[in-house]
Amino acid sequence: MKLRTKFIAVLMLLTLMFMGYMHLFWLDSMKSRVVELVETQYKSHLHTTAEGLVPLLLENQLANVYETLNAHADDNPNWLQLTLTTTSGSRLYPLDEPSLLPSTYNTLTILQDVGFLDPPLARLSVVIDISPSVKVIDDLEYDLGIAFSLIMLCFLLGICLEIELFVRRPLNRLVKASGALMKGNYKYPIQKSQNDEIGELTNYFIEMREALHDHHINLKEEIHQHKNKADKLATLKEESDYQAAHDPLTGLINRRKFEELLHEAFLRVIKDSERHVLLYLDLDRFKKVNDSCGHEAGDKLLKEVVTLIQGSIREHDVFARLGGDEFALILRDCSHNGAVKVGNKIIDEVERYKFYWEGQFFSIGVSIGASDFEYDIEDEKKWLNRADMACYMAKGAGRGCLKSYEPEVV
Amino acid sequence: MQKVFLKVVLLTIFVCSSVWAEHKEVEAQYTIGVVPQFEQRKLFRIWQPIVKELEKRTGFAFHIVGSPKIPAFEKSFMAGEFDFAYMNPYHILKAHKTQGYIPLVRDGSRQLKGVLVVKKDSPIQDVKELNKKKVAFPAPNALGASLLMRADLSELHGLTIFPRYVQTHSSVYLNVALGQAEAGGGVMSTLNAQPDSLKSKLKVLYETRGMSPHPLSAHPRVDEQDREKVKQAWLEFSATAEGKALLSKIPMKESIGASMEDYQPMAEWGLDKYYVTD
Repeated sequence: MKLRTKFIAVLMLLTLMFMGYMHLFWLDSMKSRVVELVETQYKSHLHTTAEGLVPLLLENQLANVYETLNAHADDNPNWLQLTLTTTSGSRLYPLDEPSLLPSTYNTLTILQDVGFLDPPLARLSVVIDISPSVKVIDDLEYDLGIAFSLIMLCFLLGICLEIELFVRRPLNRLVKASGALMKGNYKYPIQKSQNDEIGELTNYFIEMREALHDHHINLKEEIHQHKNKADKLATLKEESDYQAAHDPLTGLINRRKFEELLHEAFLRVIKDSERHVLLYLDLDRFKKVNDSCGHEAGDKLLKEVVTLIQGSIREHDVFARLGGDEFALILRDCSHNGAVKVGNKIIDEVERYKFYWEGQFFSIGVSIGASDFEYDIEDEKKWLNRADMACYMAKGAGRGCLKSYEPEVV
Repeated sequence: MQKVFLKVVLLTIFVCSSVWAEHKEVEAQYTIGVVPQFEQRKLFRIWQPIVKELEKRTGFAFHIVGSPKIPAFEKSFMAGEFDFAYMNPYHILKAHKTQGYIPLVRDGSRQLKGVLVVKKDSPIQDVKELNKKKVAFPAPNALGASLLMRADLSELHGLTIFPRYVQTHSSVYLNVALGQAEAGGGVMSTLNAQPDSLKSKLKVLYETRGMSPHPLSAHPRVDEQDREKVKQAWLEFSATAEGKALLSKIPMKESIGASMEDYQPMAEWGLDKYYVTD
């Protein structure tokens, strides 16, 4: 339920309560008072009438009694029933038994003794229709009801207007500003207009919003800085990881990384029955170039040979520099014969390659050891070791050739 | 000249006739006393046009003399204060006896009777059952309703009753109808004048002996010729429709000549015994 509805409901309830109180208690007591007043007035009237009857009754002048009472009855049309009875209960007036009054009348019955002795001469009873007096009260209630309703209506409108202007609208603006603030809008227009509690609340809200805004800016800055820092750290880590896993000269992965990858390949072979072949490569006559032409020439030679070999393998094959002029190659999803072909192709390419340095051409070669995965290999180190051994055999067999690992040979 | 003479003659005739007329009015002036059976204004309203007519017919001048109450009226006629007087039958007996009043005219259409009423549902069936009962009367000396009634009950029926005087005939009927008295004395005319609601609650148990109604009587000091003139004028007037209408209000529906013989039987009823004097 909205604030406006609540206020109107409360005011309506108060109005109804007041009207109810007026109808049930106040007007009831007013009616009683009016009836008392009317009763007093009629008692006095009846007392005078009774006094006038005393001498007539003492002389049994019933005709005069009738004349008097008829005159009173005529003069008072609201006297619905006027009776005079003896103390023993015999009726003296009127002549005929009075008929029962319809219950629709609002009546008041007053009794008055005639005579001052005990027992009295007779007893006068009058049933008075007090409807006009009651109607006055009813009319008064109606008029008051109308007047009060109008006053309450004006009052209600006034209060509604006051609440609307001084409470609901400022609060509504605050609600909207809060909603906007929730969505990150710090600029929703809001005025500092009043000097009351709502004004204070508005002022505090504005101050709070400004504080939040400032804090938000600082926080954003801080987050931005942290993000940059994190990005840098990530880059550094990436670089560091790269450096840790790669050979800085050739850009190939280094021994440590290679061993990791070989371990993964080893696991995949065991688990998924993939077929990989490991080649161990050792350059021939590299030392001669390195010694005669220097490290710089050796480094250049290594780079060019790596580029050459990379041209002979597939992209998903793993090529690593294990150190010096030694390299390793995991040929993935490759048969032994396929590996031999790749190895021989590499040997041919390297044989044909001529390194040029300071006016001289140098020829180098490459010896390759190949090792298939066998089920007696317990780990990747053994696998690499076998390839190394095969390479050693190739070196021993005159270099520039490929030898596969064969246990009986070893 | 002739015109002047004619004017003088006419003027003379006019003056003479005026003087004659004036002279004629002051020739005989009489007073009329009327029994106060109604309140004075009503009484005068009834009697004024009748007296005017009598003046016209007789040439006498009449002056109506009112009396506040019946005892005062009785004292007046006993002292012979009225030249003419309209009184009840008992009064004429006393007036004749004391002053020699002579009845001239009376109502010939009816007899005056007292009636005794009881409640319609009263167990009393006979007048004799009223012995030692409470009976209402208007006043002790009301002729038909009280005086003659009490005389009848006592003299003719030998009853002892407890009278209760309630001032008016209407009060008598109300007292009976409301059970405040066992019976009540009244006259037929007043009983008939009551509203139906009251009449319907009453029944007539007994009627008194009849008597000739109220006479217009004359004091013997009035010249016999004048008395006769008045009587004739009255009777002639009563023969006219206008006269009948006016006189019926007295009430005297049918005027006839009256004499003391009409009232003589009453003298033997011994009403004086029941007459209450202050």
